[in-house]
Amino acid sequence: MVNAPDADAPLIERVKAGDVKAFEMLVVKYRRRIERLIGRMVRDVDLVPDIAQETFIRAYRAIPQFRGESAFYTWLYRIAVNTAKKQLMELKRDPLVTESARASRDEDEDNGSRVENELTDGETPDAVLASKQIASAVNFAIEALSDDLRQAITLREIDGFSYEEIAELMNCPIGTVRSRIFRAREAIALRLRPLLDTRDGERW
Amino acid sequence: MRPMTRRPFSALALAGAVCAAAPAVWAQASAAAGDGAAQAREVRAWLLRIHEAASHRNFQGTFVVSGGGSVSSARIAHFCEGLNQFERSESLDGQARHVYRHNDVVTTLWPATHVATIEQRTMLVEFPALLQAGDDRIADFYEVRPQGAERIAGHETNVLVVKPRDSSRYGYRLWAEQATGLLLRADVLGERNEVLETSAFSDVAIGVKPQPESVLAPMRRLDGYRVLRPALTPTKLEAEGWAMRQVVPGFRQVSCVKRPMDNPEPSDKQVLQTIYSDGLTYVSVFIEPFDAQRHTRPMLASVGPTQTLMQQQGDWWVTVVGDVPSATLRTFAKGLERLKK
Amino acid sequence: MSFDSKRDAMALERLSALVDGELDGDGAAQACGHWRESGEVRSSWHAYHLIGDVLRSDDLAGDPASDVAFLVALRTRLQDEPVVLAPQPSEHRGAAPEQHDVHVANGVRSRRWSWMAPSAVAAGFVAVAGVVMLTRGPAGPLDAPASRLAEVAPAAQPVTASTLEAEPPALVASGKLIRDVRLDRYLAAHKQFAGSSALGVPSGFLRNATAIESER
Repeated sequence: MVNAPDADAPLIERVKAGDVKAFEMLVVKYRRRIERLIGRMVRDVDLVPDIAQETFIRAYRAIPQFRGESAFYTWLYRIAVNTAKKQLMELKRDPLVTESARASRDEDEDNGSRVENELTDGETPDAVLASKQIASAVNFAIEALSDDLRQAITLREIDGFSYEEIAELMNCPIGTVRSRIFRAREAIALRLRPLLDTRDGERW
Repeated sequence: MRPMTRRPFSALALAGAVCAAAPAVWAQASAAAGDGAAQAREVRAWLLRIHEAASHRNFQGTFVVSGGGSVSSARIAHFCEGLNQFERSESLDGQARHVYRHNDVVTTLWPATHVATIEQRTMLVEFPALLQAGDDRIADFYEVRPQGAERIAGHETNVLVVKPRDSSRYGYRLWAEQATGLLLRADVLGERNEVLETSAFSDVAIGVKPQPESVLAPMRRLDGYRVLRPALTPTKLEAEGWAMRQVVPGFRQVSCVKRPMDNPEPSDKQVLQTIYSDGLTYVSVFIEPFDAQRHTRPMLASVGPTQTLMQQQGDWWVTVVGDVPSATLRTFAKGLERLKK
Repeated sequence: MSFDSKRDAMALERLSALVDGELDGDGAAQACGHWRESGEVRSSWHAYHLIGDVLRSDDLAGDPASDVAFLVALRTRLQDEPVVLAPQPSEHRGAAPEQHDVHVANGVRSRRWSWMAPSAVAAGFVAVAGVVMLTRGPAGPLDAPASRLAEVAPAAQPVTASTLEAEPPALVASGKLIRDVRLDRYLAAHKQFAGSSALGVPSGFLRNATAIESER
């Protein structure tokens, strides 16, 4: 795969032009990955959403300085890591630590080993079930796709090829690639939408 | 020893110190390493020489500034005759804008709209001489090192790297002409050492014959122009009911004026402008009463190296501008405090 | 799912292309507009990305309700943030300045020039919150229909005021950068004192400052 231009470039240009909504779209795109990253660094999972929020605010303020030398996600990743580190250092100084952090620290001292919080916001039994359902709905829907649609979306989402590259690989026009990927997404989304709270997006 | 004279000065201002730095100072660079005081003196000497050249040399050429994705160029000239300084700049692209200066009088012409402004650039608060003996602030906040030689616009130059010691300011790379010290190119460097802006001569003649009339004549020839004379009123921040509680390290207040922003009539919409400097760069803090019609949305704009922050603070609208990282602007804005009467 | 109209399907297909970064500036601007207006677009954007995340890794399946809560909370914080602007140069270069008529929402008309040529660094190009309707003259190089009266959202095209006289209203269309003359004035006032541009040159080292040391 040749140097793919950053897929986020069009949205980033919009943000630089003063369009805050474009940034919201980027947030929706990256929030899960960023929280997963932060979750690996921070034991107290109650902190994760706050650190994630702080990460995105810092990224927003620093967007003029993002000039595409790296992929946007790489840049965002670094901001997340720095933000998490800063928060952790501040907490060490702050006498008011959260209950869970204190608890896990105490357990540490007892066991002498790292203790992960078992239950998180996203890991209540309901939430675990919901995400399992989503995962299986997506996988089921992918299998049900026609070969063309499945290949197109797999080449895009898993292999990361550009439309142009996919057109070459599948020996079809770029417009067809775009259409196939769209139809694949819509077919999967059809199965997904009943599971998503945000069926009509109004809560956004 | 040159006597203290009334003369314009720049970021590299001086208070009568002689500029003696001969080209030999470049060779001594490595010898001074490790000796902090000597190094600070050397830094001052380099920068003074650059400043002196800009003040006292006669030169003209084409000057190009590129940054923030755009380019602008101008024909500029500078002449010095005794205590008099003359400068002119005529833009070569975009909207024509010609600026002429004779000592402290600056006339700006916009031929397209036939508007001219004449301004008196008197400094009203005593400017702390940033490079005077004993004030090594620049060396406190910047590390200055020579970095070889390069050819710019047909002239041999010495390269100086100016590295900030903290993240509150930008760095620079400077190319100073070897014989005179005249700066032929300056790059502003961002947080990742990326070039935010390049200002350079694409062609320059040094040591030209001074032509003061080429500056004075256009300053007089104003028929058909609507002439505006915006008046700047000196004042003190405290007198206006403000204090700056948290100053970014290295920055000191160098000026405080009231000025009209929207039209030159002094009775209208005055804005308070306070300027801070760390010796190399400046930050302006503008304060005006909040006006919901005009002050619609807070903003953080970034054009090349220049960041601008605009936001509401209480009943006021604060604008902070500077060639510094935006976090520095935020610190200035946060440091403003309205004094209780 | 059946689409209400062909237009909706087209909008969603463009949205899908934007997910992959395969949409130009105009398309992206339009999509952002739709994001603002259409719940369906918002939920589709969310769904398309969730699909991609899950395809790559099951543990990103996540809890959609928390996605919504997160964005709603962030939106509140973003509203307190100064709008970030880093104007980008126009894609079109060369040739002479062009004149457009700009209608401000309150009916005031003023003339603006737009650069197609490289523009002055000292100029600030700014989008200020507000709405403007931009019409183009019949011979515009950008082939917009002459009668078009809509929010135009191309890649940043700097437009500058040609007059200093009247106080121009702050103008912008969401997505279209129009110069705010007041930003220019702050910049000019700053550079004037800041030792750089007695003559409009931003380099502080080259020029003498405008200030004269007091004789006190």
